[in-house]
Amino acid sequence: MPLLSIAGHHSDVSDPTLLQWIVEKFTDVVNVAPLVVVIIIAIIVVAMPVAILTLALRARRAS
Amino acid sequence: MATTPDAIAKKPVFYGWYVVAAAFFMAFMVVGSRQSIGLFMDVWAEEFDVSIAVISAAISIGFVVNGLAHPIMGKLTDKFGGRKVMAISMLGLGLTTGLLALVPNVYLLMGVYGFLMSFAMAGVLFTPITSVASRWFRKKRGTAMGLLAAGGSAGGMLLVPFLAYIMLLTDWRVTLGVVAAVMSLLAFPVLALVVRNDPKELGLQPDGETDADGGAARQAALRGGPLANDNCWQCSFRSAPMWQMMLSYVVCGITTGVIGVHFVPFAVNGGIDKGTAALAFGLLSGVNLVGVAVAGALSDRMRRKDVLAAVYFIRAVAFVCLAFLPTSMGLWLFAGIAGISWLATVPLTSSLVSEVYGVKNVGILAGVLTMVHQFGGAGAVFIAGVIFTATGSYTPIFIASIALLVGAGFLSLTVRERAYSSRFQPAFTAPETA
Repeated sequence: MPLLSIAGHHSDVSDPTLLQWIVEKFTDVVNVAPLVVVIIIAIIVVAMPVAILTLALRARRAS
Repeated sequence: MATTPDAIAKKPVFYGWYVVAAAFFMAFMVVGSRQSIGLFMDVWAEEFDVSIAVISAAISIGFVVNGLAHPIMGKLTDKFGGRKVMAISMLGLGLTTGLLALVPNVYLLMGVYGFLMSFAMAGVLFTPITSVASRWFRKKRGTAMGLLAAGGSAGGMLLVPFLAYIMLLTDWRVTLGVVAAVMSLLAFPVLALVVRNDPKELGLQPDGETDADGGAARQAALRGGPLANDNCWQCSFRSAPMWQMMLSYVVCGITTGVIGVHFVPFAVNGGIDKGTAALAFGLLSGVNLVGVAVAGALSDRMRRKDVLAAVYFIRAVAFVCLAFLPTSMGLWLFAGIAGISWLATVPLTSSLVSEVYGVKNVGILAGVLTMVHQFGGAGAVFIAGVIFTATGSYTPIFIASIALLVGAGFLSLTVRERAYSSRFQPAFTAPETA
């Protein structure tokens, strides 16, 4: 993978073996079903933009 | 005039921070999903019955296209504003990610990922947001840039396991579909509805200030220093600061590129298993999340060039650990120390460019810097590979990196920030002292 990771810190790309290892370690550490992990992170991923949008629009209306 | 506690309690959050939050989420999604591409490589190779090398070629094409696209996106940003470029690029990225989920063969994969997605990606990070953040912030520009850049680190840490688990439960097409949906249905509206190119669109001043003199300080900050020339962005390359910042930024690209590719092989070569190396790299990302935000905030209180130089010197120390300590100890120390510096050059360099050359052309200038950074990294990876093949050791590469980083540190120190940056021009602070 000579050119895979050279995007540096702007848009790094990772080695699939390492990612697989990270997933396994993550599973060991959190010790919950994959579906639970997906649901928890999904809530964060959805909540972030919804909160930003709501607060920003409310701030605009208030001003 | 004294401010009552009641007035403090009721003071609304400056709208610029919502712009930063939107950009944080954008960086979170884009860097996170880009880093996750490694998850799909084996599956693609198996499904399309090609080698990993072919998939790597598609990603390499994407890298080149992405590098070349940055100046184009920068120019578009200067012409149409960062909001339009980011929003349209995010929508394009979402749609092309959806398209990638449907590709039936490797040729279309190359076309969609290598060209369309990689081009769109340049319109999202970090070139256009530099222009927007520079208009919203002048005193807290470094803090703002640092915080939004930290979104990229957070994305790498959270989105990669998220997508990995979705893939575990479903398949790669559904996983990419989820990414496409989040980009198109959440990130795009956030950018389109929250981001504004300039605080004056909402009747505000940068940093939420109220300029008594009608915005002289604001104008000074936008205009840049004495070297700024709104009508000739190319003229920036005839002055020393641009070359000082560009050459040091190339060193940044070289050293991050070398580590990005050769960190794990180095560890394995030194008898460390891949998992431990990955964990060390994870530590680097975690430290980086804090490091980039702190460096940005510090640069608002000090001269940016000093913080930038410190970042390069810190990274040089990290490489010293890697080159001269036993592999295991060196690896962990490197991760902890280098993590402080990893993304920190982005907010510092971008802020400095906008303050020296003004915000009118900051898009194209940031785009050129990013392109040079990317290609510097690519060249270094290739050369490092050649050196390792010839010598069987990474030590010469790391020693060269130390020398380059020390050089970049001193080069940053030579930037005459007090003479050329808008931050140190008399008009910059005039309203507050009036």
